[in-house]
Amino acid sequence: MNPQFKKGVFDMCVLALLTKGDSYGYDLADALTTKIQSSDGTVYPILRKLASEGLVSTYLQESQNGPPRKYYHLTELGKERLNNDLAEWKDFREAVDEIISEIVGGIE
Amino acid sequence: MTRQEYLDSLKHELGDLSYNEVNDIVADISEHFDIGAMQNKSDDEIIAGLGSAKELAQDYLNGGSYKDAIKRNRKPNPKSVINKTTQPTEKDYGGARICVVLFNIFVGVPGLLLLAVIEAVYAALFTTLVISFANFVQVIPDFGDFMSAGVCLAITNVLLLIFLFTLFYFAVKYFIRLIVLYARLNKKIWNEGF
Repeated sequence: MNPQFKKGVFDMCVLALLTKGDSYGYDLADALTTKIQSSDGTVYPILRKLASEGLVSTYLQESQNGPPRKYYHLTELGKERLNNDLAEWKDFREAVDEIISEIVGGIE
Repeated sequence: MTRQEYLDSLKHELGDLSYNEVNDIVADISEHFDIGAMQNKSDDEIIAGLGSAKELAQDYLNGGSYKDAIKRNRKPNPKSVINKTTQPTEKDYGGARICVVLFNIFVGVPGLLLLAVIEAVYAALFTTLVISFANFVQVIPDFGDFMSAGVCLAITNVLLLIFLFTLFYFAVKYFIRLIVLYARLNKKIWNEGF
């Protein structure tokens, strides 16, 4: 898929996934890449950026088997950002749909 | 490619970030490998999923939050140029650079030289000991009744020499590491100021 498409919305997707509860990198990468064709690696730089912006917080938690995992938690700031992004995304998507609906069915 | 090779390559590509940041990132990706391995995935499968180390590193470096990395990029790629224009004006590094030069002339370089001399003297003394020990071993057969005592003494000496050599090995090893760290610190202050 066009990488330019993904760039803008992956942050929002990761924040959205975290509304379902705290999660760790591997799980988030899995959730994202099963729906959108992308490498698992993309999620880690995003998580790091979100953490540095205070949109998510992190903590280590023991796992039943294996070493402890780094969990990510959506902060209040992150929720605000997500709501903002979702509203913008809705407007954007509607506008794009409107523009391309005229050629629906694709270009011959 | 093995997991370790991948992580090493990632570290290398992240070179412009600070030591702590690189360690943090490597820890995150190691965790990914750990969990993948628990799900019976091979290193190759996990690496194929992650994408190339170079791309991953680029994602980190272009991650927006890495203002430092962008600033430190001597050859900025077109992507980071956009970010660079939004950077606050570059601060004046003159003061920090003069400090680096003066510190090197009066403290840093003489200090390292002194350590090097100490290690050279140690090496020379050690060599002398080895030579005298070799001479001693040659005369053991002439000891006659005191042969067993001579052999015991020789064994004791061998152990002592091994111990002294180990000391020397670590001294040299940490000396080299110290030089590397010191050079890196100089570079950091030179490029970023205090």
